[in-house]
Amino acid sequence: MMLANVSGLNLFWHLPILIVIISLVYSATRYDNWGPILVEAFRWGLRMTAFLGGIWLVLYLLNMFISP
Amino acid sequence: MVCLLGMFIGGQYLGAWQNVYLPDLAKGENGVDDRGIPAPWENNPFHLPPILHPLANVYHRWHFAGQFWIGMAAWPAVWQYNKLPVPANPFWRDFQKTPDENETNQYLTNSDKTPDVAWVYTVIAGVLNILVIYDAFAGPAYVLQAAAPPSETKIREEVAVT
Repeated sequence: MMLANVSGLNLFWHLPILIVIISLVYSATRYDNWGPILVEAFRWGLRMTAFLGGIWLVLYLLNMFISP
Repeated sequence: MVCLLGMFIGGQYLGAWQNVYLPDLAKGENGVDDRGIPAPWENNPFHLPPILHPLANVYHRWHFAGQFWIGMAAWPAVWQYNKLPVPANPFWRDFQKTPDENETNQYLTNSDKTPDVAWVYTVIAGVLNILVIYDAFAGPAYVLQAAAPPSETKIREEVAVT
C-alpha cells in the first residue's frame, strides 16, 4: 500500500501491460494457432520479465553500495 | 490489431494527445527562423534538399520513425505536417499537430514520467506493427528446421525410377 504511494512507482503498473501485449503480438506473428501463440507468449513474457528483473537487481545493488 | 491500436491510442491519451507528430523544423539554404533572421540549413545537419526535409525532421523527432508504422492511425500527423485543411473542432484541429514548444515544456515540467511512458506505448505499437506487416506479407516467421536426410528406401525408389 505504502509502496504504491511512493512517487513514480505507479508508473510500473504499465510494465505488465506492455509485457503481455508485446509477448502476444510477437508470438502471433510467428504462429497461426492459439495454442503455440500462447505458449510462445508465455515464454517471451518470462524472458522479458527475467531480463528486466535482472537489470532492476543490478541497479538496486549498485544503489545499495554506492548511495551514502 | 486491437492490441496495437489500443496501445497506440492509449499512449496518445496518456500523453495528452501531444506525442504523435512530425515537426517541420528543417530549413534549406535560404531558410529563415521564426524571427525572420536568415538561418541557412537550420535543423538540417545533412543539408538535405527540400524533398528530403521529412527525413531531416524525423531526425529531430525520431519517435515518429517508430510511430509511423502503425499505419493510418499516424497519417493525421503527415496531414498536419503538410499543413492541409483541418476541421474547426479544436480536438481534430490540433490532433497530431506539432504542439507549441512552450506549452509542451510547461506540460512536461509539471508532469511525472507518464508522458515518457506514453510515447513508449505509441512507439512500441508502431514498431510491433512492422512485425505484423511482415506476417501479413510473408506469413508466420517460423524457425526453419534442418531437413531430415533422405531415407535409404527413398533413394532406392528414385534410382529405380530413373
